[in-house]
Amino acid sequence: MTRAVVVGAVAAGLLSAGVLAPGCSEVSGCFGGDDGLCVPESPCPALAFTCSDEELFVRVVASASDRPPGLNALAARGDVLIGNSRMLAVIDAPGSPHHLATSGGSLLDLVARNGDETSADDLNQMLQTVGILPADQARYHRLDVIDRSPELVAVIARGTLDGRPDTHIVTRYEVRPCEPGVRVRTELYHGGRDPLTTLLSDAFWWGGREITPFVPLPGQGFVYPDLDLLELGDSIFDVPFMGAQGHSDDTSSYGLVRCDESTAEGFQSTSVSALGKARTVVLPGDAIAYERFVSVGGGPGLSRAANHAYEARGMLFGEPSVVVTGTLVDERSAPVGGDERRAALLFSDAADPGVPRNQAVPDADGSFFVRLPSRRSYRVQVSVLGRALPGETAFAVENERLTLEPIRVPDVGVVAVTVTDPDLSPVIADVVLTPAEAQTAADFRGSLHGQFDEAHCSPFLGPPHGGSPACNRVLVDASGTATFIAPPGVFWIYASRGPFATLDRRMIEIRAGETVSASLVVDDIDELLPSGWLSADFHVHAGASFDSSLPERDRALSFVASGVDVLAATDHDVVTTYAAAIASLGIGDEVVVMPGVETTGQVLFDLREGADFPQVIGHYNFWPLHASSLAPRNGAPDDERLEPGALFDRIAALFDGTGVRQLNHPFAENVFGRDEGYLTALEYDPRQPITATDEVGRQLLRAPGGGRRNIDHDVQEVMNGAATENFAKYRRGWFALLNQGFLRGGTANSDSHTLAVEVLGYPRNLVIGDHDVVGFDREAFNDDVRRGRMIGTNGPIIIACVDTEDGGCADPGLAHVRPAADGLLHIELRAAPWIPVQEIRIIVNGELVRTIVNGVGELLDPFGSQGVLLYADAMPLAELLAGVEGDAWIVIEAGYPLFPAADLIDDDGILDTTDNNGDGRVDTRDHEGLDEDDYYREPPAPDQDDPRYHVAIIAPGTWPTAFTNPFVLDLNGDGEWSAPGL
Amino acid sequence: MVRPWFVTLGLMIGLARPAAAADVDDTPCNAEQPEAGAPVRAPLGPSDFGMVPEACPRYELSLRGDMGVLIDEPGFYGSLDLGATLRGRVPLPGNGWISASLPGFAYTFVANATVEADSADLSASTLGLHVPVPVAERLAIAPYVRWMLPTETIFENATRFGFEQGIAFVANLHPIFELTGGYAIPLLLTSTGLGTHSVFMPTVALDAGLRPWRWLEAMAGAAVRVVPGDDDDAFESLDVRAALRFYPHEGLLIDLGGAFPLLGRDRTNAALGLGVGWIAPE
Repeated sequence: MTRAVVVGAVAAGLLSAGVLAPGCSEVSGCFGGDDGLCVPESPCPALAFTCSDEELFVRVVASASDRPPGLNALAARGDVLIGNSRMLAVIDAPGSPHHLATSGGSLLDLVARNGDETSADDLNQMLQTVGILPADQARYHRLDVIDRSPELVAVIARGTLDGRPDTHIVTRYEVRPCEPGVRVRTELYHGGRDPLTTLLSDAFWWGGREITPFVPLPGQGFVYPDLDLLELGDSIFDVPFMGAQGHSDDTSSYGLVRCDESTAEGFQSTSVSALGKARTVVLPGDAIAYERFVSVGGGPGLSRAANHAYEARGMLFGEPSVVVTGTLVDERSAPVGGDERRAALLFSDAADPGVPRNQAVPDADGSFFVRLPSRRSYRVQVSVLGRALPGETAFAVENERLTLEPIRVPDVGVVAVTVTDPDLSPVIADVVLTPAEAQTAADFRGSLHGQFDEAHCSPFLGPPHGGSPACNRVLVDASGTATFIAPPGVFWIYASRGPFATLDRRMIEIRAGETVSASLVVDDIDELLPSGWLSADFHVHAGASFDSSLPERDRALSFVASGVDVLAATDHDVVTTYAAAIASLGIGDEVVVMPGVETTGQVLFDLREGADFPQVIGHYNFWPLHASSLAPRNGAPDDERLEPGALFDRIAALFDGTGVRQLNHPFAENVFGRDEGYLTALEYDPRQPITATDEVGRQLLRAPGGGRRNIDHDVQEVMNGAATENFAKYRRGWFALLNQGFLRGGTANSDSHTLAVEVLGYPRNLVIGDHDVVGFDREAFNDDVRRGRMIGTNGPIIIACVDTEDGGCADPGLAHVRPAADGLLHIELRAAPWIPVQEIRIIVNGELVRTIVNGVGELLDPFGSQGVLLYADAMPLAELLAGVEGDAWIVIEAGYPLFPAADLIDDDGILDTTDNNGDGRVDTRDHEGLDEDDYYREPPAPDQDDPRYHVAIIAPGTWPTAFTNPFVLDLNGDGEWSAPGL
Repeated sequence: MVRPWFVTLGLMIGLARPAAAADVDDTPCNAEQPEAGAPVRAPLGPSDFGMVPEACPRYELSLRGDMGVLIDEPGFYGSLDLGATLRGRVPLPGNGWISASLPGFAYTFVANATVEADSADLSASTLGLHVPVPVAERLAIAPYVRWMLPTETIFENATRFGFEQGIAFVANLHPIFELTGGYAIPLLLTSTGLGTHSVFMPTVALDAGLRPWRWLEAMAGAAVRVVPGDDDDAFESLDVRAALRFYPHEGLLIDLGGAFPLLGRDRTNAALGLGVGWIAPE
């Protein structure tokens, strides 16, 4: 019956309307859906770049040498390389998703080539999407290769939208000879049933601390309206093109020009940009297409790619542009350039409000070369050391190339610093500059054209998330010397080798055009750490992470400069080893790196019932792992759309030895719609018991993969970075788990992505045992980590033990011990002289039972090495455990008092408000006039006469704190330990 | 098995003859009110396509406004369709009538999470041929065929057209009570030239109308829509329908209708129709 009706109806329908349907000759490609054979037509036919070298290639990645240079490069076996003499791109294999994507088929790596030189990959990912949900992303299932060289080579990615299998999406990546980029055409066929709003676009996952996108719009350029995913329309603009500037060594810059229309629609942020075809309603049966040219340039500055974008717009839309060249010189006419720290030029329309048009970093010879739209007047703003110079150069262009008069910039000073130990042997160290007078700090702050402006980056010596010099910090390598430029002024220059070494500083006056020398001495304080204890940071990032631009060499130097012995390399979703950097620096006998990963949920899914939005599980660290440079993500697992237990099961086979599973920042807020802390994602209230009778408890206790439960991590972060808010939240959650018998080791990690914003090793773990870097026994070390034989600290050192029934004295740890009947708790507190400590707190079963202030030693000379023993005493356990029935646990904390805070926003057991109005009370009046995000305010930066001043210079934001892991006490002697309960 | 396709065509061809000899005053199409045999008008498709039409011939010229609302909060999706079109019916000499809706205004808003877009376009238009068949004293049926013409401008690279056939009926059970309805078998085809997307959605509708006074008719009923080709989820919807019609003066008609899909895979919350027009007998 159905067939008869359909046939008849089709016949009648065609009779009535067939003549009005578009003819087959008018459309081509995959507008009828992907039949596996269709091919989108070649995009951007008006482009015509020329050169003498017609090299063209497309091939599947087969060896490690196929991976482009750069820490963000991730090409792996099975991906496809496509390129010519000017560029090289990698499209990941469909089964190898990265970052935000639910499949491969995305543009994963993109670098510029020039002869034998290849720029570093700074592109995390460019993927296709029509909306903000994973369901709207392209999910490719197949790549086809077209090799029609010497005319063109192309890769066809075929798939559907991830959550709309009836909606087909086919993308053609095409490379032609001489072109400094990739032509891309995406066709989308809506075979579903409901109208669909699409923003058919490329999403660029910048990550947040890497590339800065640029759009030539009034008042924008490198700064953009805040991106709110819930009010997306407010952030969307039409733009003629988008550029993006990298800030790493040998960086690349990128540009995107739409080919089939003169503007593209999208939004920008330093985390993610999207640019594409204007939002449109697509009805079932309709098809749409989007064509663009994605260009790449090698070297610092935006112009390397933006010039291509202007050139392309001339070919595509007849928009004329002209070349403007010039040189930058100092007061002695010496060339200035070669590095964006030294100088950058921002070209804007002369009229107000000026539209930023291009940006350049001069070459080392001071020359620059930019393209600008013709027949306009411009002004050039020169920035030196992140600060725009007063006065601007104005000029006008017609249709001819223009060479500007040399632009003169004032001289900067040069600092030559030497750091040695007392024997005058050079040492690897951190060097930090800060204005000698606090009131002048604002005069030396800087930014990257308005981005990455950090208050403490004064003086601004370089991009805060990049390599040394970064922010106000410089690394000194094994030569013990470093030379860098700095603005004229009077500064303190500090040298540090971490919190267990002495601190030194000098006052220097930097004069323009002159070199000032400074020699500083630092030395390890041997009597601080007990023998066999190692200093370890289990949460460390560098440039391989999608949100860091820090070179591996600098990160490796920072290991030693911060005095950290053991690290877990935990870059986001990629396994790293730092092996090459450590070998080249010759520091293999000073530091141990355990390859690992921070699994980073990016693809939202329905994590739990009742949630308003799809979620992710947050972040977990795993180490040690096998690393493989030919495997996707260097061997890290595909971690998306998994609950923690299933992730634990999946990763078990990837451990190199016995692994450690760490729950990171358990109560972190979500960022860009992605949950970063699992307990926040679950809305876990630490006052509530974890039982199978409620949704949160069920979620935590279930084993989604059939093996491990979601709560079966080994350790969890109690301190993460400098923020007191983190410690306040995380310790409360940790205590709640301990009280319920979920004994998990507490860790303290820096989560450092940079040299100077989050400083490596602040805080860190001191792993108790008989460990040594030379002859490091990884299994024994990680066993102690899992057993909680650690203290966490950003400076103070707590050495404590409990007298046991067998006559020994037990260190902190998760294994329960039977204390001696008249047993004592022995506490010793040590700290370097520049780490102030005010109190010791003793916590029993989550309750503060004693605060020790008297007897906690006063600091002497902060730049000396004496007076490190601040407290040593013992106290009867019976006093501390008075009133306790059953078993117990004890945690000791030391440092500054807990920063006053209360839970006033939502009564969820999580501290969220500080005394913001300074009235001495934390109450709802502290919310007045503030956004909810600001209800918890970190302590202000200390004044110079504050004892905390020095540590806050070395590790900004640090609030001296240390904690032990618990002493788990079997008080009733039954051989078991019973949790005290909430 | 007798196939509806042949039933419809057979009735249209075989019964398309001069007006029946029966006394027209006794037919269900000859109610006191200007209009009879008009099911609830609340279209769930483009223009009036797919909506079981009237079973009685009339002269009609009306301005119709339609609205469709879909709010799928868990799916982060919502849509709003607004339309306005001029619709008419004209009896043909001899027997039967034609119906037409002209290209009108169509506004579409769709929110895909926070990605939102709207579009103001020319709507679809339809042309129908209806042939009344007085099969009993109190029952009339009207087989029909209808074409949807590709006048929509919302499509960027495709054209949509359609063909529909079906039977409308009216049963006059009491001077103030009628049953109307029928079945419609619409087929929508959207072609890009390289492929065709089809929606084939047989519909059965039954509405009861109560006419306590000349100036008012209240209707309520239901419709069932299915998608035979979709083995996994063929049940499109059970629509609860209701309408109020006012005849304030002679042939002036004010028509309010609504359809509310309750079961099935259609996520539409409501389709509402408002018509203002003039109805006149043959």
